[in-house]
Amino acid sequence: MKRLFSSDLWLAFLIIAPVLLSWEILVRALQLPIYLLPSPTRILRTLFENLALYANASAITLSEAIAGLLLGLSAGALGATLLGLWPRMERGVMTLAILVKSTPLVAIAPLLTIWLGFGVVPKIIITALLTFFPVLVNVLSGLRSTDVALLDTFQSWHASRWEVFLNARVPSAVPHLFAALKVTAPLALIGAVVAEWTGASGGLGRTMWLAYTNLNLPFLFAAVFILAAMGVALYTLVVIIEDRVFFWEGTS
Amino acid sequence: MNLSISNLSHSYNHSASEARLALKDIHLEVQPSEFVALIGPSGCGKSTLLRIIAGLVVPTQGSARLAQMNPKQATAAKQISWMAQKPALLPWRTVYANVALAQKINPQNSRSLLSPLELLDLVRLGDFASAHTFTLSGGMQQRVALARTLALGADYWLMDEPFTALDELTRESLTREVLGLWKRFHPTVLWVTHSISEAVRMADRVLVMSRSPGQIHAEHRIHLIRPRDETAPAFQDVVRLIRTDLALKS
Repeated sequence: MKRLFSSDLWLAFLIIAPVLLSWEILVRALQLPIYLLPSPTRILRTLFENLALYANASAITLSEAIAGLLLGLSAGALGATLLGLWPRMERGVMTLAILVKSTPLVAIAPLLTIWLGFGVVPKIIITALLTFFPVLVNVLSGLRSTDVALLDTFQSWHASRWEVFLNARVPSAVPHLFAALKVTAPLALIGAVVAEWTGASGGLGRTMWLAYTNLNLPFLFAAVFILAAMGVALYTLVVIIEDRVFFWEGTS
Repeated sequence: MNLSISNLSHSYNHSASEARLALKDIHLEVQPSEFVALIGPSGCGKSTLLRIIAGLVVPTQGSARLAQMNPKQATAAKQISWMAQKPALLPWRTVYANVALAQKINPQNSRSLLSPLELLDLVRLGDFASAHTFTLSGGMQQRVALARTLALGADYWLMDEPFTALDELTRESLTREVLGLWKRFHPTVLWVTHSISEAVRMADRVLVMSRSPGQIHAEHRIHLIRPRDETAPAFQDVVRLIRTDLALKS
């Protein structure tokens, strides 16, 4: 696993390095103005010159994203649990979930900012709204994907619904939960940034918005680079946790 | 403690208009501690019959009684041990925990049971208690399932082709182990199989089923003394008789 992981890193490097290099060459050869496309070296210099500022902003956005992700995860898992135990509630809960899911976030985000202010709470809520649906759908399908032979065995023991749920269905849903997390972890960052964009006292989204209104593109791109790196880091974290928790992968 | 089935029929509703009769007029009496093998062509309903007795399927007509209990009551009293082709183990639990779970769910406190470790020793897996099930071979996984079957201390063992997915040699040694355990714990066994020689080697009685609709159309009492020698002429005679029965009706 470790070897695979480091070879993945090499592969990513081999793909990204030429892209950045061509970008650099292109910008210099065409002498593109900095307010259209700054060169990667210029972006990285801006990043390191303002390291403290970016570190502070990233910490805010990352904590909003993780808090929102955990909230969305809990809400999604709770919903899936309810539907797993009482399938008759499906139509009601799913209608509600789809209603929330299909309401455009760009419409809700300003409202939440108006109601709840420029602090972190509206960002966490937006992120949670964005992440709970994939968790709900995936975990529910995981709870229902339990091996029929296993369910037969539990039935032959006269296990209660709760015992079947806890001992057979929940572990069966673990791989599905991680599939959902791989989608929602990077999504959580987008949620936090979009929410910050509509009004915030701090965070990467706020930094980006300021840079954008001043047409300070190196500043904007530096934030994008950080976001991309945090997305990869969050995804990797999910994969590492998955390796530990879902250790029986590919066995049944 | 006998198992009795009278006038049992079952049909599957594929659609509202079309119902397929899977089992028709099944009558069956099994004595306590008897070992009965069910054999028949694919689709003759032998698995369905076993699932009905295990309470996994509710028949459309008639019923099964296990010592005055219906299948639901029998599972509630944990009198039925179910074992199928797939070992149906929990890969996220150790071998020990898999066996222990069978005793922890719906516990029957009045019953004196062997401990999970004793059970694993019985199936020669004592050294693998802390292993995860997916690290074991198919044969070993079925031995874990066997230990779990014993863990209930049930009077009825319902076994649906439990070793079909295994290779011939593993299968033979496992069937021998089952016979040994049956002699020790004397449960009533219903054993569904595709293999004539396996049925004759193991059972007190072999029921031959026929297809569409599924019926028990012949039965053979096997009087040979165990352990039975497959190469003996008397054994071959019984196999031939059953083969003729199957050829006639499939």
